[in-house]
Amino acid sequence: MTSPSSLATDVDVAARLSGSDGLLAGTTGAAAAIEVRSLRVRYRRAKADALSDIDLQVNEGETVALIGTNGAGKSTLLRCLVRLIEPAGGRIAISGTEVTGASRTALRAIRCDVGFVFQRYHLIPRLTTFHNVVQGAMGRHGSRCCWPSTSPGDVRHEAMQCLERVGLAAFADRRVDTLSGGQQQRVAIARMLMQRPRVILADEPVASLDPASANGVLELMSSIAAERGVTVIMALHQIELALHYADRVIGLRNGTLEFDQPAADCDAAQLNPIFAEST
Amino acid sequence: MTEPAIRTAPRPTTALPPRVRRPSLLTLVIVLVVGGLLVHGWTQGVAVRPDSLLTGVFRLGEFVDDAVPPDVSRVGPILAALLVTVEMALLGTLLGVVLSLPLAVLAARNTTPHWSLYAVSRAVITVSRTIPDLIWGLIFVIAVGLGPEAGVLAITVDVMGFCGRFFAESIEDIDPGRVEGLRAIGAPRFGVLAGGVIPACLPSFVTTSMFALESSARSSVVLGLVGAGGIGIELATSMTLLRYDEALTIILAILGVVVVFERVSAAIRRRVLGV
Repeated sequence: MTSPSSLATDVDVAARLSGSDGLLAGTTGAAAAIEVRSLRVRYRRAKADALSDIDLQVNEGETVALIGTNGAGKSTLLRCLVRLIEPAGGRIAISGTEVTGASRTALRAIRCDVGFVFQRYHLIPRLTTFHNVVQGAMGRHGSRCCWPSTSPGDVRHEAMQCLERVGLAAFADRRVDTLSGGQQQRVAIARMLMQRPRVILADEPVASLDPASANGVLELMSSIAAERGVTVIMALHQIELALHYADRVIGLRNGTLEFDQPAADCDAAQLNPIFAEST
Repeated sequence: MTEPAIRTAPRPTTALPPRVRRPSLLTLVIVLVVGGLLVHGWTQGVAVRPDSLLTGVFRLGEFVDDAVPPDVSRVGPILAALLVTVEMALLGTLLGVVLSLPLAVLAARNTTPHWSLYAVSRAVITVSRTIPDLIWGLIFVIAVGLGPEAGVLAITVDVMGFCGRFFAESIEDIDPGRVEGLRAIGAPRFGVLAGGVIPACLPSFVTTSMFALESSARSSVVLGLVGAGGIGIELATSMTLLRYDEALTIILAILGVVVVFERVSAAIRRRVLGV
């Protein structure tokens, strides 16, 4: 098996893995947005792997729900896809670009294409809503977009359009920490839209929200995904939401893939064992 | 008829934690050392004795008698020297705060680019902090000569040590999620710092800087006593010549300036913290 270090070290020079040369043996990969093979993660001082032998392919435009108990490995898997957590082994490719082994510069370029929505929003609390959204362009335009005053005019216009898209244009000048949880998550989605992502990773985006706000946020993400044809992987705890908003449901248990089926083919009873007490 | 309420909780099967824990060996050692120093100081004349206190109060009365009313005949030169003191404090604090920002970024575990830079910057902060401002004043008087330049440099180094340490600790305390959020966007390292870390730490930075400014206002007076410019030298001269009435004018002027500094800094802190 090839070690991650022997993979291409820079995306600038790495071959973009074309369809038939996908990482996963036996997959055509023609429309693969995300490919994961033999992925393994172990946290420092942990006795067991947080993720072991994960093989996964998500096709372009697909919406996938990751379900599982706390500690099952959902957040670890999502973070690992853009190397916010370093994998201990295995290979990852996003839109055909090798993630494992990518240099720091190359990794930044990969992250530009991948929008990440976090459970706790991860916004900068003292800044305005508009300021937070403008920062979403930092991947494309660099550090000058860390302040609205130094950002190019087109970035400022785009930021306002993104706020209009999530229905928060009226709150552009408000400090983001004065908004409700649902509104903050919408701001985080607007910031993510500034990246113009091809893939969206959402780590329990509605876990901190009331049911109405949760539905609103998922509805928004779903419509954005449909408009832009982006691939979505979202970690969710609620089976009914997973079945409603995803095309495919993947169950994780104790760091391994336990379940992978189209949402249309499964029901809540089938998914319940995923939430059985972990070992 | 209703069931009687349970008046006593059932006895737990697990042993309760003790009401008072036994002090650790380290705690005992610290208590013994501090206690020993206090007893030694009291018995060896470090303590304030009642007879000297009584004499002191009497002499203080003589000082007050000589000092009141304050002599304002030299108010012009005194205000000019005071202006130099204020400018020393402002300039020294500004330079110190500006220099301590990059130093703190290097000295914070979560933002330093390399462990060697972390070690060097922590060492610089420690040296700046542990040597008192008066000693820095003496050193810079030797280096650049008598005058406010030495005072500004002494305050700069002192503020660098103070702010560098607290800025670094504030950066280390930042919610890692904020940094992770910007890293996930693909933001460059400087963008994460300028767009995420600095704004998140700004209230703490401003509060620390304001405390540094208050401290600098007081330091700039004392630094004059060692020849580092400002009002301190005027005060030392008046005291040496037993011109207590003139000294009182200077002391009142210093008091006024320090109070203004504290009020302004408190107002800025309130505004930034939103309290």
